[in-house]
Amino acid sequence: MNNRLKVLRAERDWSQADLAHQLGVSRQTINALETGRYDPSLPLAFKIAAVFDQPIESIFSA
Amino acid sequence: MNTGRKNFVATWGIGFGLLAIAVGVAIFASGLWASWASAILAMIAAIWIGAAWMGSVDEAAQEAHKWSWYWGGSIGMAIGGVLLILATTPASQHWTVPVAPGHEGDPVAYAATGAMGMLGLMLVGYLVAWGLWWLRRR
Repeated sequence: MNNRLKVLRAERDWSQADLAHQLGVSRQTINALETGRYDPSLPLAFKIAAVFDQPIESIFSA
Repeated sequence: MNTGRKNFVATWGIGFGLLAIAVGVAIFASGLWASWASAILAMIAAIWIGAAWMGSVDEAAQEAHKWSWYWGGSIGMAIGGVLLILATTPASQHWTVPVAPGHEGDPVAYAATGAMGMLGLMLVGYLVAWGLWWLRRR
């Protein structure tokens, strides 16, 4: 699964630690998500969508 | 203190409280009942602390531990299984099985060595798998 996490984070000038703090996960998890090596659970995907204020489908794609 | 913090303190407090009681029973009580009580309490505490800790890490970390325990633990157990099967064959005739000092010839000590050996292999497999899981996601 691909995602635009890194781009969206960069647009807001957030560090991985900033995003991790907002999502309640570790920085390592953010890194794994951004590199596409870990797919989030549905609850975490919804949380990510809420943090970026964007629909899930605009962040994640197959 | 907010509810989340209270729950956190209560959860960890109960776990380590149980562990402290188990250690206390082991140190200050004697007899068979004390050994049983101490061992059972220690394992309940271990499960309790493990559950609290698992609930405190994020989903990727949980996934890493589940994956590692399944694959690392299974592969470790498979390696132990080879040794277990060989132990029932003539191939093990000249094996020297280490036991706790002073317990040579005690079947229970040999069983304990086998159990600890299997657990050790599973833990090594688990640690290797856990390291690999995170290395692949760096």
